[in-house]
Amino acid sequence: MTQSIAIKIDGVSKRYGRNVLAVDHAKFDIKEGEFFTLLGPSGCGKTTLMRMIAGFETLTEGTIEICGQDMHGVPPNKRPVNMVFQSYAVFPHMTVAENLAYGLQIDKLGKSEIEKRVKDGLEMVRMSQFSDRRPNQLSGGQRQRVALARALIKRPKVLLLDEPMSALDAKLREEMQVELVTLQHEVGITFVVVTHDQQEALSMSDRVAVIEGGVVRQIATPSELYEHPKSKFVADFIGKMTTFPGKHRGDTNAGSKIEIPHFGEFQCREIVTDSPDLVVGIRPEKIEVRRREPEGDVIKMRGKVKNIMYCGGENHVYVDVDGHEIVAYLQNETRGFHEKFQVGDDVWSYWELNDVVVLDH
Amino acid sequence: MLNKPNHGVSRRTFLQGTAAVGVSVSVGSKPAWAQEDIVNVYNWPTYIGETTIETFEETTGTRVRYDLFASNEELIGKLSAGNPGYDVVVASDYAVDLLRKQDLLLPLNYDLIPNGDHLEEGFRNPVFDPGRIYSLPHAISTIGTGFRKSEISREDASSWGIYFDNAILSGKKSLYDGSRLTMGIALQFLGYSVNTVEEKEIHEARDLLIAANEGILTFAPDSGQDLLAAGTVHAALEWSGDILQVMLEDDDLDFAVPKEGGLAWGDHWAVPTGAPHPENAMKWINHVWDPRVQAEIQNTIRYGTANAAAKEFINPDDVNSPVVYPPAEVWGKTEPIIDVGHANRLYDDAWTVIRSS
Amino acid sequence: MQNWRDEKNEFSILMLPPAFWLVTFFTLPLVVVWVYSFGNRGPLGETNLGFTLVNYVRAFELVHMAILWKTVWITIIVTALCFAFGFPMAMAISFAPGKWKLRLLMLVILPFWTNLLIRTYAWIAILRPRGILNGGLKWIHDTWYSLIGYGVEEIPKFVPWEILYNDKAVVIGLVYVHIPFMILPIYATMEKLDKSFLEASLDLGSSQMRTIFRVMMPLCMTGIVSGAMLVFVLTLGNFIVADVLGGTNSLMIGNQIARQFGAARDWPFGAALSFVILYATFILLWLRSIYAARLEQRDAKR
Repeated sequence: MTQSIAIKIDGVSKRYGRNVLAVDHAKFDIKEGEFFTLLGPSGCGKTTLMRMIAGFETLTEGTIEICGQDMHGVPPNKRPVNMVFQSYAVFPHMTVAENLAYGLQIDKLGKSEIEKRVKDGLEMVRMSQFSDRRPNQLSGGQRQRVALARALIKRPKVLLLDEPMSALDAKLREEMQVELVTLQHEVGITFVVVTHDQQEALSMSDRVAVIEGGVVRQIATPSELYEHPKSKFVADFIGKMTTFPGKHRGDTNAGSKIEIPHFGEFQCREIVTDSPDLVVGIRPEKIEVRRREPEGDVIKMRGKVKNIMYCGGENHVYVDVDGHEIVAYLQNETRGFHEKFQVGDDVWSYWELNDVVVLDH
Repeated sequence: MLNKPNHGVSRRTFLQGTAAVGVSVSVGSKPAWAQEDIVNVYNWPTYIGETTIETFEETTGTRVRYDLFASNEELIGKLSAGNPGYDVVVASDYAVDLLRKQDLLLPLNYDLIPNGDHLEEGFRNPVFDPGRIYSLPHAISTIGTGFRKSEISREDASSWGIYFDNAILSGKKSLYDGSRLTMGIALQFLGYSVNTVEEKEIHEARDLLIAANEGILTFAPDSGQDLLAAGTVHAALEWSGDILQVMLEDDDLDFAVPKEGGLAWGDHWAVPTGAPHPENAMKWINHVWDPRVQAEIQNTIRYGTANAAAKEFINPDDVNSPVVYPPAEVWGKTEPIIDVGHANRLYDDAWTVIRSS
Repeated sequence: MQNWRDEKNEFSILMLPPAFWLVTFFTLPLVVVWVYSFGNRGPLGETNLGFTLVNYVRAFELVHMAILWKTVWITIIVTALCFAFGFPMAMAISFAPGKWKLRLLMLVILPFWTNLLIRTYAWIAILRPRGILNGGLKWIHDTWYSLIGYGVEEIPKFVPWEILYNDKAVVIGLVYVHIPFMILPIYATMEKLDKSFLEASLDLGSSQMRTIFRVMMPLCMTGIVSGAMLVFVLTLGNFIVADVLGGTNSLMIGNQIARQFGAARDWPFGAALSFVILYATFILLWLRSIYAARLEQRDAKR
């Protein structure tokens, strides 16, 4: 499938007043049919960016193109995008069916066509039996489905979803995540989701843009983001990571030579920055912990178990290495595994060279 | 500027907005100040001389407590619910009549009011208080037509007929928003008494006014003088005193008492039943009837006096003004409005029809 | 958690002062007026208590019903105009930037600091033939004619717009006096309104206008209804505006009642007239609640 560009964001900035720069020169493309997520902590500018795509905020600088068309001066009601609001904004004074029909009535469709589309829309989100209900008679999840159907039956080029799961409880959230992805595959429309929940972003998206302080830090697939985060911020925001300050000690054919002061030197496959100071990180589940000294080509460190947190499927073991804390997630592979270590035990923690991530500091 | 009337808003204008508060509540027990050597005076706003209270307190040593009301109905309402402590009040003709008939007034003690002798002959025996047993005039005036000389001649203005001929000054005439007064002029025009109780006559006056509605701009709530001054109307049914005020500012304005009669109007001092200091009340009335005090009052409020001895101290312009003191032959034809008892209902029903057709 | 419903004693003690207040200052005067309405007027205008229905019979006479009918019409027009102007004003305030919001609200409330009578009188100066409005119209008239080439002498005489001392003036005055009572409740509901409903409507392709009519208005219905009720009730009882700005036949039922307690000194009849309106209002409210209950039933069945 040749993927054309659904949304082109080119040098977009948004300034409030003189001092607040909500979005700072964002520049990226969202491909057609993609499930794209804008991820970041609250106040990072991701919602502003989405509202600029929808047309509810003006741009201070830059351009936004949707399907090759510049959106400058195009009001929200004329844009080929639809939005599912954080509060769902399902009109309380209309029935479910009326909510769905509301957007279609504009499009000068015949009565029977509207009815058919409403019916299909309700089937799509499995809400057919609720068509005459009022929103206050629905649960949060049901309201979300109504909002989804209402936006989707407009057949937009792009569907925008603002924090779609934030109003749902944890159990429902997971269900809806699966459902949303399935739905997106069915309809084949580009989805752009704003969320602050990294788990949600990783599990649903084709690609994720991590935004911090109005700046897009990294755009990548979920696995790329997780395995090869480019910055400490991204690494920290997505999952947990133990980090050490490192030094770049030149390159060889085999890769770059990195020194972790007090712990030794190792080879790394990547060629990295020009600055000698950098950060070396390792994901907790990549770390092994054992009593005996490991053999082979691994990076190993000797320490004391400082704390153990039992988390059901895994144990989070905190190891103190010369005042440096290393976190390891150990699978509870066998019953009673969690009793293997005690606080105060002398242990080795070690990991494969390949698993090391080198970050800009 | 002492010469100018100091009441920009006449007392009747004032009443229109506030009069509706018809329900008055009486105070159960008399307040403590009833005991002291004072006199409690109840009057309309801007209706007293500048020095009257001061000179009374100086000559008698009795302190004055001064309170204001806005309409005869408010006064009657308060007094009929039980005098809350007033010693001396000012009531219009028909109000004196009503209060007297309900035993709400005390007879005046003329031994304490020697100045009462100054009362002019013509005011000694009014229908609303025959023999002046209960009241002495505070101020008198006539009701006639204020008019713009450049728009209508004095001769034409001297007949109620102008209000009933839609061809004359059509849409440039105002009547008064009060059933008895406005119906009164229609009755006079028809040759009947303003106080008639005959249904047939009242209905005739009603029909006359309905037919005239088209040529009348509005039934003004005593703002006729303002309409006249602003040029909104060129003839207005009004009190002489109110027209006198605007005449001072506009030479083109004048006042005429129509040949059919005109209405006499007076406000009178009276002492309500249950007055805590009836003797002080008599002293007060005697004081305001002192010729010099009386003259000072009229020089301030610019109405007429019924006090013969006071006239020599009153501003000669006013004494010689036919507006303030109409000639005897005119005055002789005027009629005061008095209460008509059950016939009030006839007037009110007729008025309702006039105002809604 | 403790439920206050379980604490009947504490609750009833707390309720005592407001109940006392309500009975003394609200119910009692109403009862007095109600008792009066069955009395009769003595020859001197005094109120004699008794039991007679003559006042009610008189109140239902055609002439009074006609006045009531006209008053209701004027009131409906005034309420509709208050809504037509008040709703956009409330919207303007609600969408104004923060610091302007307060200033605009102040502008709405400001007239309340001036006496109603004086404010009404001010309209005379605006509407009269030589007033501000006609002055402006005359200026436009004269300027227009001189612009299209008329000489000073040739300009046709300006005929003032007769808009004072008739029902138009009464309606203008009543709208002016009561519009804050429409704006404020609507503004209050708009402020609480989740603005994403409006954005959702726009997002679904609706124009601004359709969004206002199909989403904003229905969602502000509680504010609109309470505003309309306030304006309706206050206009129905107002008599000062008709007194000051009305023409020869601009009598409203409020004037009629006020006159009974004033110049006509017929309190029993005035009381009966007031109660006829009160009964009519109760019947309207009752019909409305029946209608609302029916709607609810219909909804429940579906």
